[in-house]
Amino acid sequence: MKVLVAMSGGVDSSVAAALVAEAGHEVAGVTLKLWGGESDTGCCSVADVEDARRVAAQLGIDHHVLNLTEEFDHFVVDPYVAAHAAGTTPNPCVECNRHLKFGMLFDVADRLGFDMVATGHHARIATVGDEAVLQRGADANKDQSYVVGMLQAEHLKRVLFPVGVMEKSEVRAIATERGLRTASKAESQDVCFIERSKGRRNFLSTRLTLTPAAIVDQDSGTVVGEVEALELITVGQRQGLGVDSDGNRRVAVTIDRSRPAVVVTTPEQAQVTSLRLDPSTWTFAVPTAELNGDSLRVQLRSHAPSVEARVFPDHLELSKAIDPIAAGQLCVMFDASDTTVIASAVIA
Amino acid sequence: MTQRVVFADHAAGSPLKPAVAEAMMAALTGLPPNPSGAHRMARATANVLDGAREEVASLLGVSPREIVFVGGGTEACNLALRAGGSISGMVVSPIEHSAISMAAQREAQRRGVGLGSMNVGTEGVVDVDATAARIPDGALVALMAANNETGAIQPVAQLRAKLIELGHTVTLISDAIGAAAVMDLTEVISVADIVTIAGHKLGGPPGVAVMVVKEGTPLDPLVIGGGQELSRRGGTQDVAGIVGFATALRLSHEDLTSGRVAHLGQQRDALQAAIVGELGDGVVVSATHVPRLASHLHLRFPGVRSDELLMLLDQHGLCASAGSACSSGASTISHVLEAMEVSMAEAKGALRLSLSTSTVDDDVEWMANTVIEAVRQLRNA
Repeated sequence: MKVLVAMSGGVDSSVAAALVAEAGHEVAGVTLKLWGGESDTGCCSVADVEDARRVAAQLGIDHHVLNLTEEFDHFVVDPYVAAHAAGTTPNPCVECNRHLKFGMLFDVADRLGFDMVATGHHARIATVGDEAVLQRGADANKDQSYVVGMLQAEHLKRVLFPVGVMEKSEVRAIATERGLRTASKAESQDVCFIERSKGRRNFLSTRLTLTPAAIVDQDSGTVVGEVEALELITVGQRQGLGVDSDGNRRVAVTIDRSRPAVVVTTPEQAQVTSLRLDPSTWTFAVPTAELNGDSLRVQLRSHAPSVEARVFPDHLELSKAIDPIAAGQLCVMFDASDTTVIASAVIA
Repeated sequence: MTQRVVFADHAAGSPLKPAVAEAMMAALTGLPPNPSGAHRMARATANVLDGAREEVASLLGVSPREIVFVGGGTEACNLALRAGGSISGMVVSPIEHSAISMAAQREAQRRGVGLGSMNVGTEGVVDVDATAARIPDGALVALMAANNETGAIQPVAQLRAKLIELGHTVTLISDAIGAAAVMDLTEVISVADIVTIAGHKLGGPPGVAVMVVKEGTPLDPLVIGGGQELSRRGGTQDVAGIVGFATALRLSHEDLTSGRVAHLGQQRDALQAAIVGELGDGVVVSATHVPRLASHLHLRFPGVRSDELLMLLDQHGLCASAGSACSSGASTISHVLEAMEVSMAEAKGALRLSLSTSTVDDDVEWMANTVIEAVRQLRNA
């Protein structure tokens, strides 16, 4: 098989490339240059491209660089800024996976005649009957099935996640064994286009006008404080909103651009038992799934535990109250055993 | 069967010629590295250096004092922008290599002068009539001998003539790095105050370049200490590299005088005809109606992405370029095509095939077919 491996320059995708090459496939590595601006998060840097190129050379496979900076701006950065302006909180890594790391990479693979696409994500592809299904990675701490939870059934047939079946320590051991220069490389965890030293506020302030806003108590309607920028507040946030008369941290429940105000309440009252879904955003990893009140496990944030919920086309009914979830976040639905991805939709 | 591999990226740098390697090896072994010293062995090295300098000077028709050896083309261009002493402003063409354009921005700021640009036509040639009047008397002016992406030869002599006509005395620098392998530089050198040439474009070593700095041209050095190169560039010279440069430059001159460059032009024309013949309207050739380097064929394929085309060509063994590559290897939209007002759709599908006098006739048809098939595959998928 001809396999195109997305190599970020990190250890996981290095080992993914090694395993695919060692399995005897015809392999080419490709590094996606996504962000053209300043970065100190160690993502998309020239040094990462060099690491990927060097690892590819060590493995004896071709390596190419695809420049997708314009597409990254269009599909990830611009919507990220627009969402903050609108008071929602998108997950840029999810949108990057959706549109670029998988979306565009599949197109490139088609045009260049590759059968499969491989990445270093910690998730598993299993075969059930004739269908490829997406499951949680073997390493529970590194599981990334959430951020690839938008993959559709037709994608799953063409994806390889070679390191998803192993613990991170095994991945590093394989890299060390093969002398790959990325073996002990630190992980990148931040949003790649936001400089760690300057932060989200600085980034957004260069792209939009930040709006000062009042902090308003939901029950009494009184102004209890103010925030510097409405755009930096996320529904569910507790930091920076002060404490109520009982000494409890206030929780943001509504971002109201028209006033402008951040509506807050107590942690107890903030909790929700249902969430709205954007019906236009559904993806189905299991194509036969018809979700009309089915009881599933839903995951609402990266690395958050799943909760049981009844899933409807436009909303979720949760089995227990949870902290509020910002619009724009992805909801990934797993089967009742919390193993296999069924579908995903964006919180409205 | 081993895969056929054809190198069509000579504009990025030509593989070292065997005769160059031989000459360098002789200079690398048996001599102490430093030509400065009060003893016979240093003098032996100095003698080799002096000989190479004289050869380069003679090939370029200038005096040995006008030759400055530096550590590569980018350094040569950076240093050239520190010429001219007290200048009234800087005017730099928008199609210069970043070694000129980025350094020009820094130098204009550092020297506290304005930085102007030039008009460029759709064929990628600077429009002298539209530009000259905007160049102030006393300015530092940069116009390359030929563009490294499209191969379009630039009107350096015409620009100088026009400026003289206008009564404007300027310091004129011309980056001939992209041109030197296949272009007679006599005219450019006769009109420019500084001309830069890099070794690796000639089949010589990388990390060695020459600046022709005409007598009386003030130059504020970048690297100081040691007083080498008449205090215009400090640091022990890379004598073996310089010997390699001199050899490569001599071989390039022989290519020009022996008719090998003319033959190269025929190969390029055949390659162009084959591709255009098959793809017709599906390909646009840059700089076809203006004088261009015999080595260059710059093509634009609307609807095709350069980086994907290069991947596919690479898989088939054809080593080419989009024309501009950053150090990460990622292709970006070229500032040259921007200056030519090429549409985004065409600029994204740019391909530069750059040949050399080492290109064999046998490979020309294969290159054409490989490009045609790759473009068709990407368009049909």
